[in-house]
Amino acid sequence: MFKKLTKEDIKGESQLKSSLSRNLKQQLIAKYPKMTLEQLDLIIPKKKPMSLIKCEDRLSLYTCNGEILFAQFYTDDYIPHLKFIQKFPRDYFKSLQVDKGAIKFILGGSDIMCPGITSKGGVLPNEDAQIDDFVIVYAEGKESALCIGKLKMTSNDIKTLNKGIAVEVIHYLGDGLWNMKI
Amino acid sequence: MSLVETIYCRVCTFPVDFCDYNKKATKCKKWLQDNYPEKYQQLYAGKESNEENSNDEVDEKTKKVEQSLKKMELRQAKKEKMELENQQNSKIIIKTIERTKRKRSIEIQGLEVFPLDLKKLSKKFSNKFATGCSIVDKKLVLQGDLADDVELFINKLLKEEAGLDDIKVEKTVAKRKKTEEELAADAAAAIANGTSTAKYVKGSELKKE
Repeated sequence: MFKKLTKEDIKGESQLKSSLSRNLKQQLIAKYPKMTLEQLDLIIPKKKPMSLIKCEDRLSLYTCNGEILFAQFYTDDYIPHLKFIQKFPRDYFKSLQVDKGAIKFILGGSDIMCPGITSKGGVLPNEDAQIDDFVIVYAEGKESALCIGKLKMTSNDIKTLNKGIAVEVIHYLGDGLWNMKI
Repeated sequence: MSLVETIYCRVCTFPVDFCDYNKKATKCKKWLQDNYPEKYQQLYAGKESNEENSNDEVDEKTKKVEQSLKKMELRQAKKEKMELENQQNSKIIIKTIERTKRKRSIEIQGLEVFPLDLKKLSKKFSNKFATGCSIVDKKLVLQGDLADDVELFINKLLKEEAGLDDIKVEKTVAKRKKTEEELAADAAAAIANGTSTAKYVKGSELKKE
């Protein structure tokens, strides 16, 4: 989704009100109950204002301290940046794991197929993860998150059908959003 | 609760455990070894000893992945080598163009091969030489007769920013095309002097010696 994002797509930057960043933190805690306010304050200090960068195609990026934290299309859900995700332990998010063979293809930008998850080395997503939920994808033998995607099949379906696209990859290591520098 | 600290590779910007899936893996490893020796040990020490001992333990899938990674890296290395050669062989041409009267401008050609941002470069030039500098289809056009200064500056720049030495820089001078009026005047003068009998005809390419 962010494969072709470049600096030229940026249209303008504006500062955000501090009330908005407070709101955002509340929302994050509501969504990921394991996060604490202190942790979020470390990433988004109260004194430092967040800024909003508007891009082509109604994409907005939320940044703080020169780091991109979230991306958002129109007014959909916030898509966390991988660097943001990598600041938290793995069990904070709904996650799954793929085997070694899949890493190369994901870094090339492809979606995740079922066999990559069901084979040895893969871990199925949490039971409570629903279709269209954001899931963080980890890889066999690696610590850091590899990509973030939208779940396209339930955990059960992945196991039984074992065919087709299981996760639609949105943001991965080395894509346009990852390489964007502000 | 504090945050998880992830080390990011300075070479490929990935978290260090993903370095070997990048095309510059060898460089990344070296960087990691220099900067975070502990982490390097943790990530790669086990692997190297494994290779020496026995390959039977490593299952086939892992082997396959490693092989394809190696291939990818090799290809990238080749590509980089080609690029470097390309850069070494390329020439920068600085052309002096006459403008009206005694004014001159220079055109710099062949910079696009190098890892430099033309847009930034043009700003740099205009700052450094206090003139206008613009980009005309991948050529930089500087206002003012600066060929010698620019040559020095480009050499310095390439050494500093790209680490390249001995890049050929060629200087040429392009004569301005004479306008028709001037050609007519020249022809008239020649006739008056008795050196030539040829009359200038409008539109023709006839020129006096």
